[in-house]
Amino acid sequence: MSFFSWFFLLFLAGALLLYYVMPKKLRWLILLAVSLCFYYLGGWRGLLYLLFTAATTYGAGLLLDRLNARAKADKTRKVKGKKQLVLTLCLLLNFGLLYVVKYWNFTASAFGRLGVELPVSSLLMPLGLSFYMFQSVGYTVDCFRGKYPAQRNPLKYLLFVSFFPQMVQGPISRYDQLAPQLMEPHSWNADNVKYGLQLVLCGYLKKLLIADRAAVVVQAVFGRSGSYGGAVYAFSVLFYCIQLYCDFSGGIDITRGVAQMFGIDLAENFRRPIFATSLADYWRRWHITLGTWMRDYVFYPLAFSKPLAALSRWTRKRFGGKLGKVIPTACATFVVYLIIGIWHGANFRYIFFGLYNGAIMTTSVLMAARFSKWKKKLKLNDKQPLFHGFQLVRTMLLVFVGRYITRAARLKYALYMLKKTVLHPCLYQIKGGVLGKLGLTGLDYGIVALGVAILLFLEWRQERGVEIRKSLEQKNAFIQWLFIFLPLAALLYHFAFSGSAVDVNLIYQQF
Amino acid sequence: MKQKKRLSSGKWLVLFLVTALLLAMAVPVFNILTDPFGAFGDPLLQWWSYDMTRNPRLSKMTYLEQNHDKYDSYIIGSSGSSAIPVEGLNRHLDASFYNCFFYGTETQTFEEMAVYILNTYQPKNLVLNLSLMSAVAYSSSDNKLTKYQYYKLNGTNPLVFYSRYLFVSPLEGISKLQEKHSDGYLLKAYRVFLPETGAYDKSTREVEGIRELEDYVSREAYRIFRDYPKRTYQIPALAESMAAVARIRDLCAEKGTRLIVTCQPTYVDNLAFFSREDQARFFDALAQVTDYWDFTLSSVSYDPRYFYDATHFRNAVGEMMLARMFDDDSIYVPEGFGRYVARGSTPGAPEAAPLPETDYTARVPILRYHHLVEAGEAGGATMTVGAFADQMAALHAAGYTPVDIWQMRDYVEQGAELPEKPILITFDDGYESNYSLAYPILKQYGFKATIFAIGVSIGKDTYKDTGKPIIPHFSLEQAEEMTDSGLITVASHGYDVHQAEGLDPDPIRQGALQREGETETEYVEYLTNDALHMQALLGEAGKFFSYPEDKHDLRCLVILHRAGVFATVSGNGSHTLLIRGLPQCLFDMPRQLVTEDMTGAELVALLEADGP
Repeated sequence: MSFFSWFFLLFLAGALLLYYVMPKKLRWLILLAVSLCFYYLGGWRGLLYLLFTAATTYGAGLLLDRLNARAKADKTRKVKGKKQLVLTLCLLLNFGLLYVVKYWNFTASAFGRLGVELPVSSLLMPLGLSFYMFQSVGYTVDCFRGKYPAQRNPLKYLLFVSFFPQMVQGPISRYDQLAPQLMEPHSWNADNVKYGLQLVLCGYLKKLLIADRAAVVVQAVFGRSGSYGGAVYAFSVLFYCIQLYCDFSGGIDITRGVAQMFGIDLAENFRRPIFATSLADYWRRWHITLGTWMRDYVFYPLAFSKPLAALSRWTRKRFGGKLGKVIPTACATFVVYLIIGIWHGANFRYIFFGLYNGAIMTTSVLMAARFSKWKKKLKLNDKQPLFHGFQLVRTMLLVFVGRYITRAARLKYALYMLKKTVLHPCLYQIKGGVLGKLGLTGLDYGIVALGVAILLFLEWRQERGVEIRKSLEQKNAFIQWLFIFLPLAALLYHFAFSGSAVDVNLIYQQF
Repeated sequence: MKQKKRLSSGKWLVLFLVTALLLAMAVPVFNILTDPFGAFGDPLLQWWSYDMTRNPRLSKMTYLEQNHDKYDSYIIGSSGSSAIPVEGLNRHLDASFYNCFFYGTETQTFEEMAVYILNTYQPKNLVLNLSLMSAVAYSSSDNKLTKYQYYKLNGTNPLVFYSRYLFVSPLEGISKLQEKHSDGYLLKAYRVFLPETGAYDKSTREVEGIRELEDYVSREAYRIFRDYPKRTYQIPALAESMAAVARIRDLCAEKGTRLIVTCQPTYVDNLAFFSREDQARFFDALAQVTDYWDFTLSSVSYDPRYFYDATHFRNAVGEMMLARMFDDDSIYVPEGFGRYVARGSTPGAPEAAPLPETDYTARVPILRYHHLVEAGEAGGATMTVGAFADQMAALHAAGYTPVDIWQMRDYVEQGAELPEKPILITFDDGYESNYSLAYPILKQYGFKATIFAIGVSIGKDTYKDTGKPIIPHFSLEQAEEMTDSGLITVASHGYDVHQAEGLDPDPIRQGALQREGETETEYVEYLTNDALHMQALLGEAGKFFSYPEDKHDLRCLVILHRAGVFATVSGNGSHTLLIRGLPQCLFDMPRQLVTEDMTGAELVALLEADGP
């Protein structure tokens, strides 16, 4: 079910009504019923995948919990091997499923090019598979680590896996943060509903007014590879950056807003990535829950794994203390970003995207000490406005280049477009009015520009510590009403007059 | 310290809901007021022509809800039915018809519409116009707003029906307002209906001047006839469609309504979409259900000039249908046009062959003269009486028979015969010399001629009220004397649209065109009054028009046609082509300018060179 349908709004209104009229103790059951219903309406086959993941991780959690209890009761008992076996099985089952659904055809195609014919899968990627799978696997690993006791009630656990707002595109929540909130009997709280509605409105505006318009330009240019100069490519990549951010963060705003209306605070997934001062900082602000998931469940296990510990010992001996410390970290970083790249899609360009980020990040880790020395020599520090600006621009450029890779249909097109951007910008095309032929009217460009300007202003205020929604509450009633009226009027304008939106689906729901 | 909210969250939520509700209502309210599809009875604009163009099947029903008291009989059918003239039906059946045709051929909708009309309005007559397409598909799954049917016809839930039009994009209503604001006199693609009759507005097509076939099919609008598409259609819905016709028949009988079933004239290449076997099956099956008139195939079907486009026959052909059905001799009906099929017979597939073109077309040269002089001052459009006499003698000797516009019109409209080697002799401006010099010579040979007089100059030898001398023009008495002879027709060169630089206030009117600085409304009123003035002065002959300086455009022609003008001359050409059954051929007939330096023999040679 799309967030952008009238049906969803009706569904949500009905779910809220049902939730708050039910006795408090039963409210979590309503949430579960609504969540399963939401997922079922998207196709019953999808529900099977969801139940499979829920069942395997639930079972694994119970087993691991039992093994943990045994080890605790009798410290002499060695259960590590069994625990590893349970975890490995669980991971294999789930990531195996993800692999078959998401990556098998890519493998078959790659082998096909080598002359080895493999059968092609006709399984469709169910809604939000990798999001709820990562979330459930995270829970299993936490159980493995004994971080918290496993959930014994299968229905409660199923609600944790299937909570409907995050089914579309995450965020990837943690059990210990989300589950207690889901089970808690929330009372009606007008503040929560108001804040939630405000977030939802914000998400709709980002997605419908900005992202869908930017998408028209992106589609027009990337759909016709080779017919434009580099400046037009750069312009369209800029629009792709706008599209991607407003699409993804807009969708997350809706998700978090909907959850908030039920009294549930979901994890933050974006923290103003435009203000990132380095690529590492960018990834700490962009798709935060994926980043932290990777940190906790891939990076740390890797960094402290036996092979890397051995590598660390070897490098310390060979290159000395500092470098010896850094190299294993760099290796783990590289692997993490490679995985993030692959997570984005089954395509060589995503692998390259992972390599690109991994390489930059690894280099910066390896060079960190040297950079500090240079900064000292040049008397630069991060608080100097000019140097801070330089860091922002540098990060933006690095991200910008990365977007060529993820958006172009093939890696070679991305490299071609990059080359044209640098060597053949053909600025005359911009002067010649090409931008007016990319499917957007002057008014559309105006809406995008105004939307981005407002967004930047609000994020700049947030970056400076201002809580927008709280500060709005201090304004008089008319101003507050204006902030109701204007977004609603803008949305009405969109629904009433826009026939040009290329796609109302969220980009990240495909993952 | 926590600051106090200036608006509680509860109040904020109420404000939100109220605002959202009000905004959500803005769109439906706007859509009701502008009503671009006529679903709500077009309360504000009452611009039915526009609404019917967007969705005829819906708008016509809502139009009838407001206007049904003006009608007592109805036509139902696909868009081809537009050409069945309601005026003719009204005349023949003493009724008041409304044409409910719509885009589409599905019999299910015909039936739903018929049942609704029969039950709601109890009409005197119902004309059901069918074609072979009616048996191709019984129903349509097309659910677009432009084809969505009125809920009262098919039992759609009114909520579902109205919600579709309530929440349609306001762009539709805005477009309608914009079109209304910029709307002009001539037909526009966004309003192609005449709401009062329900028929298509063919005001521009009816004056387009139809001539040779080659010329016709080379025009952009008719290119399809050069390379008509080839398709194959089956008639799987035959049984369902015939059952629907039978139900309509029974309901008509029950309501006491006269049912007339017709099968519309079809272009021969279009008919070829269906096999001969299927054609026979269709007509035999229809004959098992009802009596009907079948006009599907006739000699008319072979000539694209009788069709507006690939599938739509001309209004003039609709007139022929009625003439055939009601034995009206005043309208030309070609041999073999239409067959009456009695219920219970097995008529089989229709058969017809094309007529030789000479059977229904005639070439008529039209000569164009102006002022005559005794001797010496000839040149340009002025000619000596000697030269004129020589040309008339040569025409006489060559066997030409000058005709008048009435003979030409009778040939076209009634199918009357023309004499051998017909020719139309015309004079522009109405000079006194036409009376004093030309008329005696014409009388000598018994030649007919037409003089296009400028109304304001009749009997004048000075230019209007300027006192400036001009070539003298004949008087009304002289005109009467000439017309009383039966030889001369005094027709219209406009009452006062023939203006002269330096004599009329600047900017002058160019020919019959809109004058600079004049609004379209003023122009239409001026030209209409001018044409009516000439008709008051000259009677029926005032409806034959020659453009001053030959300057005119389509709009000018439409204005004149609406003011009653049925024939015009325009441009140069050795002859015009008259086509029986197509009054459009009387518009913009080309003329041959005759000059002093052309001998009688040369003139005859010129006319003969172009063929009989």
